[in-house]
Amino acid sequence: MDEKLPESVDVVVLGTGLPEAILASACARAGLSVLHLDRNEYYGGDWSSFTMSMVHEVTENQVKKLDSSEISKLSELLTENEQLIELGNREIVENIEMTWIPRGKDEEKPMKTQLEEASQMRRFSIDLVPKILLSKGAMVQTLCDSQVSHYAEFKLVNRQLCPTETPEAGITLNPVPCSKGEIFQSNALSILEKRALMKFITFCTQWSTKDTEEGRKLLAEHADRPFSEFLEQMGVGKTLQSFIINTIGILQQRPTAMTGMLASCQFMDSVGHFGPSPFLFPLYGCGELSQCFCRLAAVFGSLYCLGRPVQAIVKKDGKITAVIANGDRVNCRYIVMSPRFVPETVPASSTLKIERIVYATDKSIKEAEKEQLTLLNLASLRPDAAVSRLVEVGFEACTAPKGHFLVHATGTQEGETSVKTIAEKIFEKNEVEPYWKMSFTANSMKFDTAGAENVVVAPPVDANLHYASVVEECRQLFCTTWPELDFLPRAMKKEEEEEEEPETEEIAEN
Amino acid sequence: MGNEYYYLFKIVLIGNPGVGKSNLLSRFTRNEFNLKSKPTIGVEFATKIISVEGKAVKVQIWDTAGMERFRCGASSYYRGALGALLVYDISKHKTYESVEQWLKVLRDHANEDIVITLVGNKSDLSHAVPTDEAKIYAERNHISFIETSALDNTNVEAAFTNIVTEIYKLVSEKYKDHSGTIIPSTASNTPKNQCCFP
Repeated sequence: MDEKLPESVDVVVLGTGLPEAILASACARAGLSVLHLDRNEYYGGDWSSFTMSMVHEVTENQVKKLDSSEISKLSELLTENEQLIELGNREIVENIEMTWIPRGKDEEKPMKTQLEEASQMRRFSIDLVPKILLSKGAMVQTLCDSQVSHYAEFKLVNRQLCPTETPEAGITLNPVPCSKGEIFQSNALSILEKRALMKFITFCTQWSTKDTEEGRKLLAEHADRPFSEFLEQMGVGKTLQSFIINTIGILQQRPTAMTGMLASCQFMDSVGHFGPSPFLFPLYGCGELSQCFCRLAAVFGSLYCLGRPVQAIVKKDGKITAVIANGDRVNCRYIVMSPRFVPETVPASSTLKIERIVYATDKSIKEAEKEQLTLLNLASLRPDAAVSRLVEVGFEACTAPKGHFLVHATGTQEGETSVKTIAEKIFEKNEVEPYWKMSFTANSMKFDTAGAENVVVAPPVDANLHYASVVEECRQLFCTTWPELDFLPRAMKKEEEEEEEPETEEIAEN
Repeated sequence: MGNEYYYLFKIVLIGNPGVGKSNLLSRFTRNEFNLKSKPTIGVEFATKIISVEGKAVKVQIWDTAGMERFRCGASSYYRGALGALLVYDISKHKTYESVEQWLKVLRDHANEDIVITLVGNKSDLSHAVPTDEAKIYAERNHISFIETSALDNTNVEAAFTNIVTEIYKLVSEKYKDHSGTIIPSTASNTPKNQCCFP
């Protein structure tokens, strides 16, 4: 059916990426009327997940510029003193290359054919932005408060690996013990190292009870110096230092003692909350979270319309008064937009380029009796780079068919070695042969303004491991724009739900 | 039955706006019907525990939250769903014409094994869709068929219990070789044994 869009709403949201979805749900929850639009037929925008059948859609992003006849036609919708501004279609995801990789062992029948014949192409969930949830982090808190946790399920990231490289042995992947139990059982640590680590953990536990200023005093002259120096004076040896720094380094790059301690406490606070690991991964991939927040928005009245041209905005007296979509005018009091939609005339204040490669394989980078969800911090192999990591997820996370894996490599572009080079070294060392690969550059574009006072530009895709900064930026944008309203307040318990177990128990299923 | 149940089954409601999905849900779970025909807002899902072959089954029924209005359902809606009630309005032929498209949505997004029932709702009104026509269509597509009226509570209970029974048989058959490994659970102290097809 081709139903008409509403004439007027409080907020139009452009793009269904995770930040836009969070903001749409916060607005709808606060009682604002919301119309949520996306040019794509699917949810998620630049934060989407795709099946193997649908992943080609990421390259099909053609939005033609408005020509002069279209502009004059749309201008008929304007009234006195109004100005038409064409919406942008910025290349947030670019340089996309996708390829099936022939393998000797598939000589008889290519893997693509095998997967198609077994109807397995739809069992992939390929993330553009793979992230992890910290068990006691801002995203889990927001999911529970808003009850979006009802719509999603999670798995523990039950394996963290720390790579070491030597000329003779190449890259070795060492399991990182996270909980006290794992520390005592670990073969990778000597007795002395275990004792030093327990001493460090005890110090963290005490330190985390102090306020910021007092905590800083306890670190004394080490506070703003390298974390490694601080660890050394605590009696932590070089090998264990690298374990700790690489483990918490996944949360905090190039840590000082202060930032390293904060990250360590954050890490330890999350360990044991849902299981021995501090990290969770969403079933069916990270793109699922956008859809979950959109559902909450819909539950509170937001209207959803996908797959329609979103052409222009209308400006008057420094404010946006309407959006023009599919030739229809929708009057609005506010606009929230993905960075993709920001008009070309508005300069980006900064752009960070993120290197992304996704591999499909049929063997894990480190085989185990039971399939693992794996996080690998590559910082020690790329010391010049701010971000270098690998995430391997498969059937257990519902992101690949049984026996298959997706390996996500993410890195910022510094130094001589690319994250791709390291990933492929690890594959070679462990006899892993990818059969499919997709590479692209994600552009993390920030805007100081979108050219009008009632426009909110949602946070861009970023290279952070977890969601804290996205959630907090959304909260700040919401509270700045609507200071009198609550950002996703803790939901009231419904009568029926008193019978349910606590939400936090629902959020993790091992 | 208290809060104890043996299985948790997720069922989704799909179909055009205005065919009465929410009223089917509220009639089945709370025995309520709302005469005001307003779009679905504020409804997520509802649950009810019913007995199937002597076993307590918790049925978790998901409503669309109105997202089908511009045909913009999310694929996450179908995750883990074991059953779908595909609802049309017997007095509006157009809603029946959309059934084919809804079946395609299920084929694209739901598990292959999902149990589907075609539901002709508003049987208290006069038929624009002959019963026989819909019945033949359902048989041809290997799905169940039932006509209901959420208004006068005709066949509502049956629509849900029939699909739950069908799911139960499928699940029991699937786990036949794992007898003893399906753990009964209670809401308060045991993790839910939510059945999802792999």
